[in-house]
Amino acid sequence: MRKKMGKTIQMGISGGMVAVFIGSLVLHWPWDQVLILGFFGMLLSGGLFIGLVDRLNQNQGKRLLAVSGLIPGFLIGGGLYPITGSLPLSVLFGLIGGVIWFGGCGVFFIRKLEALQWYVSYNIEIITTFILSIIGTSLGLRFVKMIYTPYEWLNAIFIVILPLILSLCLAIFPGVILARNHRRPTFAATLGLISGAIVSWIGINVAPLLFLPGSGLLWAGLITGGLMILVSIFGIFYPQWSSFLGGLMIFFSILSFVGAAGGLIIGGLLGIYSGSLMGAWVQKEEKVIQSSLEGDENRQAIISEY
Amino acid sequence: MRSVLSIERKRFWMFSGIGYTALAVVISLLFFTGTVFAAFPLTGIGGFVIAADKITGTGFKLYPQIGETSEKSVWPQAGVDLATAEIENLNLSKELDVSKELGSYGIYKVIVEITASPEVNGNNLKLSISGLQADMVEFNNLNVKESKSDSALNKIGMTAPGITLIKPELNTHSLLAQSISLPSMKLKIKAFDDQGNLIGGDF
Repeated sequence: MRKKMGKTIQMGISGGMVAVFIGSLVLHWPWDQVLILGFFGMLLSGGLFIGLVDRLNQNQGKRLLAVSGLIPGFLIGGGLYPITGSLPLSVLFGLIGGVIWFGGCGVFFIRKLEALQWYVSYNIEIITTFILSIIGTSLGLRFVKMIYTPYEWLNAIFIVILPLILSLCLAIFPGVILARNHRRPTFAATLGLISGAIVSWIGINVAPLLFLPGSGLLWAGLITGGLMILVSIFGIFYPQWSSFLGGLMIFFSILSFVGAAGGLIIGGLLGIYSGSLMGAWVQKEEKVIQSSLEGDENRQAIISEY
Repeated sequence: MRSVLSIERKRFWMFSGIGYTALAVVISLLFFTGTVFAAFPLTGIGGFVIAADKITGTGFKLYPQIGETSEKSVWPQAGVDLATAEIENLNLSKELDVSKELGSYGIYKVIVEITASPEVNGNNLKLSISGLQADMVEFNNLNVKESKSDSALNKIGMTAPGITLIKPELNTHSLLAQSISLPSMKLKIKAFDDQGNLIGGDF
């Protein structure tokens, strides 16, 4: 019941975000009307999910990830406009492509990875996939502009392929990281790397000011950011030291607030969270058991205790 | 989620509790002492424009410096220090080109605007600017001085115990403030079409 409620809320938020996107960027409506549209999008998407959930079994439920393809489809469709010359056609093409990509290919890849124990489902999977797919598409579209060629057909291929691949890779990434988390604190280390990178980025940006008199503690961003990255890497290679490394991570994250604004605050807060996860991480014992799944007597499946 | 995270719940709360409490103590110390840190840099976002109806400052210092802009990694700039500043109707804005992502939907430019009124008070401000224009600038006891130095950055400086700028606009590349209060702050994200017409986002 709780799981169903969680998924309904995630579907509702995703639907609301799609409606806000359409209202503001496509229809150019004023903000108050966009918010009303977003509210209805949320109710519609969440409601649709409640209707669907009883019809879809556990396995088919993954198809809901197709919702992650909506905004990437919009963005990629918009990018195709100069090539097709028709905005509605481009958007329609992008939308269909985006939904098929995530609902079809994406789910196919996830199932394959799950079978290999390289992917694991988690509680906020729908909304995380939805947000990361948008980030991946935006990054992909930026890359496409960098490699602009004189051939329109080649550009069209790049505009479609690069953002789609990047968005799917980024969307699947947390599941892959969490699948390896029982052996090493991979999830905590990944968050630590991200927070360390944000703090270092502030350090790099203020570096030219270091040569001026009165630069104070501006060096701190570079040092603490670098140390946070180092601790995260150590966490992956030496999981047995996770408690000590988690404590160190928290210490450096707090230090990052002196001189580096805690990596625009978010970097420091994320660093403390990743340090807590690393400190509290415990290695799960694995048992190799004989499985008689699907009638295969010799097949071995490694399952965790949990 | 907890099972895929492979954590001991009790230890997690202990670690995060200690971490966030220590952070709260460090930040309160920084604010109360006001001496420990010289840096809460609002930088890395390239050039942004600080505009106001009036800026009144004390302990003004202006000196040449080398810094970074969104276009060049090294670019001559002017460093401005102010011991205290009172800013009337502050408007901090940053223009972003989004034609690549959203051009097809008719949005070419987004301006992120932070406004605060009626009066913003700041202490120990350090700015790197590459341009300043104002309707009127008044200095008290202005002192422009050349000094002999091997470094070009130390050859000239400008100081004044008091300064007033009327309707100034500063093209700023970094702003550091030991403390700053922004009353009635508003954050607006305004979208513009290719002709520069406002589509939405103002309120």
